[in-house]
Amino acid sequence: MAAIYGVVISVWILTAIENMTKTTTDFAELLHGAVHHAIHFLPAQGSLKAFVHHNTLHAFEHLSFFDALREASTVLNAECLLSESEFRQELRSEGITWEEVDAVLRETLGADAEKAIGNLGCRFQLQSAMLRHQVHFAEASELRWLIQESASANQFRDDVDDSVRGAVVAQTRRRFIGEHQPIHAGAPVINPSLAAALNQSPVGVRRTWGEPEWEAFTLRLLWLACLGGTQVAEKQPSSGPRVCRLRDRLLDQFGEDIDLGTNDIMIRFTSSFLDQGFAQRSLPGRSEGYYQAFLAHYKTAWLPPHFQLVGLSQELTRLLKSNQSSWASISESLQLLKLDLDEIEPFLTATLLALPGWGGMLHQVETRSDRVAVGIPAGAVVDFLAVRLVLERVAGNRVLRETGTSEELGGWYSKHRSHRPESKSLQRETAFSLYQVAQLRGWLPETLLRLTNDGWSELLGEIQNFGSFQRRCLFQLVIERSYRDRVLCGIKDLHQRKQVASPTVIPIGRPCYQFICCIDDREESLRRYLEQVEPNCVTFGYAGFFAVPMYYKGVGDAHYAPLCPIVIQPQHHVREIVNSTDKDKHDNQKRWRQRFAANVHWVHNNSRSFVGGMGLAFFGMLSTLPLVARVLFPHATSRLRRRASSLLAFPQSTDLTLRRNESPSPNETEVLGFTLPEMVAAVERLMRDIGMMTVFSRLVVVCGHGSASLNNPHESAYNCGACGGGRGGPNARAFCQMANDPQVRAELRQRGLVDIPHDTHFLAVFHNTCDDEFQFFDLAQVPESHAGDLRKFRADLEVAQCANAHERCRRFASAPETLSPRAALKHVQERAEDLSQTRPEYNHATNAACFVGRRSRTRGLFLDRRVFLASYDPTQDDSDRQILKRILAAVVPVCGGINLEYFFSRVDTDRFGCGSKLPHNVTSLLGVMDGAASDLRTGLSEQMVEIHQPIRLLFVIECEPDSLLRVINANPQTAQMVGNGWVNLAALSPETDEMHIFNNGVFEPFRGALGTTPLTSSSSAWYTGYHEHLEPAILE
Amino acid sequence: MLDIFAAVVIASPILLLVLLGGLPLLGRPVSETFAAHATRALILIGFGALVAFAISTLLTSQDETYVLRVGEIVNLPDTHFHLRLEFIFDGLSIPMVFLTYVLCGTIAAFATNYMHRERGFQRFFFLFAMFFTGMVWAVLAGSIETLFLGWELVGLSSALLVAFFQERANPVTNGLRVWTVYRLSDAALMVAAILLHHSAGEGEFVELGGRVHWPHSVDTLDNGLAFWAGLLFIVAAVGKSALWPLSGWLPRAMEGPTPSSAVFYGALSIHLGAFLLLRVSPILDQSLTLSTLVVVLGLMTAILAVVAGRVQTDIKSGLAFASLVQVGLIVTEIGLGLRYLALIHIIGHGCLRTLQLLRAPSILRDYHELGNALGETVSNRLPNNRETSSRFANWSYRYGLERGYLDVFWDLYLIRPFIQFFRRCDRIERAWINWLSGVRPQANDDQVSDTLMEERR
Repeated sequence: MAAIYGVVISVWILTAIENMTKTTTDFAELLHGAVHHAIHFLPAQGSLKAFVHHNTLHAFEHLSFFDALREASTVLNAECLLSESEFRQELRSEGITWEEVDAVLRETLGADAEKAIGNLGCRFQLQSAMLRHQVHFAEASELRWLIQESASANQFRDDVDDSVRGAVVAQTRRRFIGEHQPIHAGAPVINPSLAAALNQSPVGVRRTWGEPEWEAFTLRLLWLACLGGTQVAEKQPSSGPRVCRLRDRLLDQFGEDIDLGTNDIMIRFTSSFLDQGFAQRSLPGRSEGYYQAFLAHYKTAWLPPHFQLVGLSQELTRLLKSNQSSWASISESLQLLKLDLDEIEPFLTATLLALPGWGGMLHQVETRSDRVAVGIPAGAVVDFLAVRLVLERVAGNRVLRETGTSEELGGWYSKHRSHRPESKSLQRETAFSLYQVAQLRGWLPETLLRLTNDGWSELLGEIQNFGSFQRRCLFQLVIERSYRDRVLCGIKDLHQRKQVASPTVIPIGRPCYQFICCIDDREESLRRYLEQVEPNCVTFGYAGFFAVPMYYKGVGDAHYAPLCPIVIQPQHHVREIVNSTDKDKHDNQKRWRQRFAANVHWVHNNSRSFVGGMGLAFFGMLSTLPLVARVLFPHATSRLRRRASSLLAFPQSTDLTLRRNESPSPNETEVLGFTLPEMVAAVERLMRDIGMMTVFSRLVVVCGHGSASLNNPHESAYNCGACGGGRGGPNARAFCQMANDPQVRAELRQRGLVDIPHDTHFLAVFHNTCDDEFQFFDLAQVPESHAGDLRKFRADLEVAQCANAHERCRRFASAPETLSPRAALKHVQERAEDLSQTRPEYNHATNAACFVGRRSRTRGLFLDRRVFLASYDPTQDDSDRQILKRILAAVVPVCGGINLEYFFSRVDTDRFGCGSKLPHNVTSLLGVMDGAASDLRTGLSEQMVEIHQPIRLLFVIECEPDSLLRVINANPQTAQMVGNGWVNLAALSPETDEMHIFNNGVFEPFRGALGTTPLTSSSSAWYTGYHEHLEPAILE
Repeated sequence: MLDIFAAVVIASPILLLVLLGGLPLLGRPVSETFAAHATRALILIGFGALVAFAISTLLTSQDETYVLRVGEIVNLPDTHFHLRLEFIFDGLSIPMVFLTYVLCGTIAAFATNYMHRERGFQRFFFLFAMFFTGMVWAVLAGSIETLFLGWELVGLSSALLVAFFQERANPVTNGLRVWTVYRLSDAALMVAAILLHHSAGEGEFVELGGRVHWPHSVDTLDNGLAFWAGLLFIVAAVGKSALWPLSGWLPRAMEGPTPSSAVFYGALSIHLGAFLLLRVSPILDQSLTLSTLVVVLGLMTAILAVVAGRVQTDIKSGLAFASLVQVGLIVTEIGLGLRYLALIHIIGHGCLRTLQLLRAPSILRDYHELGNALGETVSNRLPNNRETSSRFANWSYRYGLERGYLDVFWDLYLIRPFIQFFRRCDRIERAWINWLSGVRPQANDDQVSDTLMEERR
């Protein structure tokens, strides 16, 4: 018997243990999943030293575009589209008519357009009215004000047609001037309140009323009807229980914001933890990890770090003694807060998103330790979360203690957690929308009063399903459609015109020179002007790393920096070295430079310290000179500085360590240079991709680009995106040296790949897009025979440079409109050298489209610096479209990423962008904060995106639709971006001017109004006097 | 001639303030270009007059302190009491007004570009004009009343500029903090002024300084009074110059646009406290206790700022504490009686810090270039970059990171009890009134009748 008991008991115990361990592992898994899911939502921006553009809503890319926006706006508490009034402004400035809006609406609704809503018209009519007229949303308190203080209670809206208003008032008057007859049908709620309303003004009084009184009475009935209707209508299913953070509940209940103390400490500690060497002392115990360092740092103190955190050191001492990991600490906190299992994930997400910038930076530094100078121990984000929960608990306990609440925190929180907006105010808000729509549509109060409960439910459903978000989605489509039609018609019209007009626009025979630059939208105008100055030249666009991905270290650089798109991991290192003749001079200068820098560094550090600073203060008066000079005369000062620093500058005669003979051994960490086959492959790849296979001019110019500006923490965001936020000059130089190499050429010829003529010379150039200056590389290597070609090119480039600067200046509000091209060049140079300039250039702002195809299809079209131009020749591609595949694999994510980053930074500059530049404060040498302390600000600043028009990038690709579809679907990333509508897509037939538009997975033929594209004599004639976006125009 | 020059120096900032503040009051918004041109023109005119004044005094080799008196507001000959605006141009005020003009002029030029297209452009320039006026008045003030006027204008405009980005919570909170500390020092100055008037019947520095011009002036007050007045002056200076133990607001004040941070906290208003001490230095010199107190406060401030400055990770806080170190040293010098040294120190430090703050956003680029020139990352060169783990090192790190625990100390032991006490009073008063008038606690405001129309009628 005992044995049986024993067996039963031991079986029972074993099962219990098994269950226990099972639930613990389940819980651990759940927790891990929840934390990793939450981390996914953090912004993915790394150090500002190398700014890489990416889709801000990358975490939502698996959803279709508009679904993602809706999801993101709730999770991240942000606006994902412009506001309705901004959209109306856009419609006005773009000259879009309401007929065009209606057309898009009809198309989106499809067969549902004619769906009748009771006897109140059809869905299309309802939605069209809601689009045309702004339906104001008012919160309960504002609503009360509107009804009580404004005219909206007794006057129709101003934008209601007079005839509509007259008819409604007249009908109501006829119906109610006599004795009141009960309205039979309809909801029972309405009749009593209606009767009450009528009783207040009996028949005798009503007879004396004039027009205004009847209008007020009509509106009153209408309001009563709407209010009653919202009460009887079936409730829309709410979006499920929202988990409120502990802080939100405490704030609602007691008016104390515990984020004040929590954020204060977390910001201070996290920036010390992440510091890349700004502070003169590093955080003690940093190598132990974030959590341990935090516990050790705050465990003993005679005062808490913040008055809200009284009791912190006791809690931390307890945690230290229990010796648990940060994971265990998180689950302990969750248990103490008594969270249900299904609440954990939204709760942790909301908690982590309290400081998204710092959390995201911890994650970036942790996972991309190769991109920062000082790495951090692993698991920092989890630690960060654990610490936050501990702090919130301590602060929460204090609030309960101070307010005399006897409950313990978990119990209090679980009681007050689920929080829903009060239904009554929600009803009022809905009723107010309905009230406005009823006025706009001219509905009679009586008709509404007769509606049945089902009728009300249907009507309210229609109104709520076309809320602000849906209306803005539609506006978004309208704006994008308008731009798309103009660009596509422009390309079509251009084609038509070239058929008729003489084809002199396209050079025949050997061009004067060929110009290869980055696909960057900023180079569009430069190419246009070069082509205008010398009609017999050809320009190409290729991603600005020119097929040479490398780690590069210039003569003056201390470290290698990657120069290639972020997706590529370079395999080669290239160093710039000084020619042996200049070696001594160089070493001498290097020593001087080092000495100078060491002094500067000493000054920098000691001006912040005790004794050194004192001495400096006496010489401080001397700094008035540079201060006044640099602020008042930036241009002259910078010229002076340049002349002075040229004493310490490096000689121009340098070389690249490009060539290597043997293939690298596997244990070589720093593979210096390229082998011959690798160089051949690089040259061939670029030539093939841009379709430059047969015709070679005597001079081929390859132009990389970057940007230099002063006092600008976001400087690297202005650089070449295809170089991962670096400057593309060295890539152009390396490519030219490869292409000029006789062995490479021989090999190319021998293999029958490309036959580059002997008299063709490749010349590398660097374009600074901020001050529009050009730097030429290896001029000494240009053969004597090419001196004339070079002279000619430089002369043309100078004209194009000034014209380009002039076109840029039209966007700057502070540039006078009367500038001559040469003065414009001086103006942009001054901007680049001015310490006080917050808009040195507008970078990619206004980017809107990307054209992949032959330049001849867009040459002669004014595209307003809004279009990325990638060269691709479909006639030279194989039937499998191998070339297009590899071009799109890079171009779609890179250009799409740039576009989407601008998109979201523009629509919500405070949440997705980094706000205004003015209060920015560089911290930890990693990022910027607002003012003294704030979350780390990611994204682009207001000054960068203010002129941007947020539309999704339109890809126009020269390829037949069916093969394009195959190409797109071959790459999962492009398939996702295109398929989910994160970019728009159109196909241009290589032979004809036929076009197809990608819509919901299929290509539909494009039917635009042809011949609408304006003609203009020159670019400047088209843009002069305009600051706004300009539509494409054909240059005659 | 001198009268005209001096009047222009004082009047041009006032005219600017009236222009930028008055036009919007009359319903005429000030455009960006107008604000920029007006600021530039008036600063240039004022500066021209200042240069002319300086040259003509040098040429005439006038040795006496020049005093400009405007208006007699109150004059009670029986009690020897009179109140009037009085400005003095002497060895202390002329260098300071030069500094003010040069820095404000530079900052104005900088801000014209920097604030371009900013929504608060007009507001910024109005506050700037207020600050500029206040600063000129304060440094030229010949009597304690005049000084108080300028002092107030500087305080008000500084607090409003800290809260410049008023749509976010942090700037406003921090602006309020600055304002609170400033009020404390204002109160001290006010009481000191009353005290002086009460005993000496006047607040003119020339009279107080025994009619000997600065820096050789001596105290003419009797000892007991001088001590209390001096103490109050020190309290005023501690608040205004963020000396220990009221240093907490300085790093928090870095909320405004960069140029305002530069000119206000880096260069000018932070030195106003030290300037006050210089102005009343004859009083301090009389009392060993006061001088010692000044030296101690200065040293405490400098030590705190050095410890805190070494652990700051953001450029603006770093520079704020760097400023504080120097201000501490300047105050120490004043305590030791080194008046000329302190004056030179103020001017040199102001210029240097302004330049550093203006180019603060360049820090990433500077570090990159420095690293390139040195051939190694900058952080590796730092002497203290090893993780030190001695008890003292940990303690001093924590002390620095928490900025000397000053904020939390005041919060816990002064501000919270203060607020709680008055909240309790408020509650008691409400309950009392309700009981007296027989009203039950008010119904919730949201519980309104069902139809809004009903409420209206």
